[in-house]
Amino acid sequence: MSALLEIAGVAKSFGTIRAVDGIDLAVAPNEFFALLGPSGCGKTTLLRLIAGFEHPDRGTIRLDGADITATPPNKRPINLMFQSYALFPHMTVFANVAYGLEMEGLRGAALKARVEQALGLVQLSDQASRKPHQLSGGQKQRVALARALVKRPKLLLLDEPLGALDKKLREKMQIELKRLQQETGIAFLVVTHDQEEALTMADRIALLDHGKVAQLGRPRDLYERPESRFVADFVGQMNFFEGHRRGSGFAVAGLGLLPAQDLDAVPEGTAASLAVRPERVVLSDTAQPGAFAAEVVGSAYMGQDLVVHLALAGSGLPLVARLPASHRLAADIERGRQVHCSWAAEHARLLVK
Amino acid sequence: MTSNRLLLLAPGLAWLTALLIIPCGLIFVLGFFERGVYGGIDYTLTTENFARAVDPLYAGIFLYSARIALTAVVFSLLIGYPAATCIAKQPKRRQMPLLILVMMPFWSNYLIRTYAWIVLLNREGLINGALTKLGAISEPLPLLYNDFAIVTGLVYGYVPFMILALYSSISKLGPELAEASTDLGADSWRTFLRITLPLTLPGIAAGSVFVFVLSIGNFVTPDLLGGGKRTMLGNLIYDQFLTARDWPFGATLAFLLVALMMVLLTCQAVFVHRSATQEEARA
Amino acid sequence: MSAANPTQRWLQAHLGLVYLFLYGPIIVLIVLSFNRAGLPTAWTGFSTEWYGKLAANTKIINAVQNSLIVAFASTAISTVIGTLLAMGMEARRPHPALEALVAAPMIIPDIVLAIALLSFFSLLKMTLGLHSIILAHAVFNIAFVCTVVRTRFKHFDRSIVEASIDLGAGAFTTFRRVTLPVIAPGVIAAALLAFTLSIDEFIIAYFTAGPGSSSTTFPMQIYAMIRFGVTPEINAVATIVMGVSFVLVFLSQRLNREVEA
Repeated sequence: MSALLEIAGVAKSFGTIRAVDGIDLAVAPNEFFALLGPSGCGKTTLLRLIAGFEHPDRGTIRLDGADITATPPNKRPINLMFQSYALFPHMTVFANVAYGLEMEGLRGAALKARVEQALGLVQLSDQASRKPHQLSGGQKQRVALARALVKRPKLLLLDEPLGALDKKLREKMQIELKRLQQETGIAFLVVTHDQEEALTMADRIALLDHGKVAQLGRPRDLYERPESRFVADFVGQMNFFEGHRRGSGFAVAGLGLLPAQDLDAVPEGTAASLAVRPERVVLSDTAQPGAFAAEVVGSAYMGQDLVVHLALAGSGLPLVARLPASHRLAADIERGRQVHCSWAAEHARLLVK
Repeated sequence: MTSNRLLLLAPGLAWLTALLIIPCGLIFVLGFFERGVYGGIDYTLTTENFARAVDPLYAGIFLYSARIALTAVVFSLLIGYPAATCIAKQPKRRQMPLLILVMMPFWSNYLIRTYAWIVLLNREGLINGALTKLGAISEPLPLLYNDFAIVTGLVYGYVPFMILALYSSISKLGPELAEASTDLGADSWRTFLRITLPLTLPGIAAGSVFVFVLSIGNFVTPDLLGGGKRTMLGNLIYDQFLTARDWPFGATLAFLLVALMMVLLTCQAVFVHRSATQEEARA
Repeated sequence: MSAANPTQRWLQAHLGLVYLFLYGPIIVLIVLSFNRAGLPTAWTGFSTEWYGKLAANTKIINAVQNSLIVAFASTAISTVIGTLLAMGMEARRPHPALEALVAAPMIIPDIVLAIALLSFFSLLKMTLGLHSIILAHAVFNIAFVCTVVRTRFKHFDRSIVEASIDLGAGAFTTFRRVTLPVIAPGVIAAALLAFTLSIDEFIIAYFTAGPGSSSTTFPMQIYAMIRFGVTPEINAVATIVMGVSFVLVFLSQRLNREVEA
């Protein structure tokens, strides 16, 4: 399958700030793609470049093989759902959704049918004659979605689509967006700073850092196989140990040699970080070979999970472990308690960058 | 985008350049020419107009105008400050209507509002009539055609402006600082002197400068309520243009008026800036 | 609020007096305009005869016509130019000099602007008349319109302009269908204010009207009448003028208030 959107070597600076610093990526048709990153990473600029509101300093943007780098935003078969929703305050819900179709010259019954279909899709058929200020936040968001989708764009851009919603509604809309994307078959490109949102919704994620792609891949790749410390740190929670590759293990001051996967990829003596997910840390109350003694410093009850903060014996290095609330130890984890912790070599990843 | 913006700005800029900047520049230039024999302008360079402006006769008029304008400022402040404070203390949704009620007369016809005071202060006017009827006086009081009437008219005309300037300063302050001061043991009078008054000085300065400048340049009020007996700076400029037909001298006086306004506004701006930086330094 | 302390009660009493000070004289004029004898000292019965007299006064009718011409023309000019100026100034943070230029007509004493324009017009050997008053009134009205419309833009979500373009509209369509309808209440409020200012403006009109009575505006006529002395007719004029001004200013403020909602 050839790419729908191809971005090649795109860069954009504002004054001395390089907002987008040479980005290449491709979005496939029918894909749910997420641009993830902390604020200031360039994701919003990249979105505005794709929408056409900014012009790249260099690089090209292609859609369906055609170069659209110089095409003005109103001539691109791409629509944007604005972070603020940007609903026209003086128009009804119906008129808001109809606006884009009117620009295509659609009138009368055909227009009405398309608008009603779009409103049905977002379950707002009964709100058609309302004005934006009479709607709730979630309803406004759905109007904005219908307004962009009704034009049947090849690509729909969504700028922090769930940012203004409360947590419950956000979770509901994550599923809703996914459903709409599959139903309409339109490629979605979502910009978000919320990694959980990206992990749950997207087929693929590009994690941006300082205007560059830090890692591009499926959610599972980013979570399980981060390629840099930045990625490992940004996506999910992570324990890091600083040290050097030595012989058959990874040497950390005060802990000795730790097991790690893919040791051969790192040359002897290279400084690196060892990354272990909290849920991969195994806790036990009996000493086992290869396990470290540790003392519980504190714990946080999270409902299904218990997050345990530990200090490793001897070195005092911090370690976070996450265990299911049903775990045998979970019931009597308390401050000062001695435990033993370990992890499998395949769950310890060496990161040089 | 930039060319679009210029297109939007162009008509307004052109209009204001042709009919504001150039005419005001002309006023400055005119001051350096001589008066023509039959009025008009004789294009011979001179600095005589500026020398004449400081002549005791005109300096006297200027000082008198300044005194009247300053009196108007003081009364506007005394009336305006408590009023602005009171409005700022009202519930938020009631503040705007109250302010609009203050500003309504300001936006409407100045002549009519001045005329109302003739009706009130006249020898046969409402106040004298009422006082006579009550038996409080046997002879009508000379309320009209004097400095009292002029100041009353000016205060009446410009106190809304003063209230607006003071309100924007006072409402920015919020009640927390005064509450903190009270909490620390100051009574309300000391809280006012030590906290509220110093922090609202920018508003006081802004309101005072405008009331002063508008008053000193006014000619309608001295003409109608002063009975044309006393000349203020505004009347003097008016006379040079429409009666004496000495345009260069009139232009000089107008220029001096604008210069005075600029100096006062600059002082006020520097003052506001300084108090702002002091606040920052304190923060 | 419930337990108002003495200071607050004093302040409220003071504020009440301030409103009395501001509106008392106007109310007196209105009442007197319906007094049969027209004198301020005694109420001699309700009458509308002074209004009847006004309607028969051709000088006043003429002056009102002139003022309406000036006010409509200068409002039309300044609403268009001032709105464009406001849009241009809100497109990007304007230069302080531009801000000062727009503020200047509002703070310069009227008499200075009046003589400056008179000198300028006579330097150009321009014939004075209603047209020169219109040119002059547009100067301060452009500034006021621009300022009022800019406050409207402060509440304007710029992303709706981009949304319109994103949905396929061009720059002009976006202006006509999105920007203009959204700022319209501000523009109308500005126009009403400009109209009020123009129809009430005396000093600048007085200087730029030129000789002769053909271009006498309503305030100029009022000034002439006032100088002549207190007459019941003026009370009737005053009532009408204040009534019209207040209605226009009130409407203008109402429109602007809806902006906040």
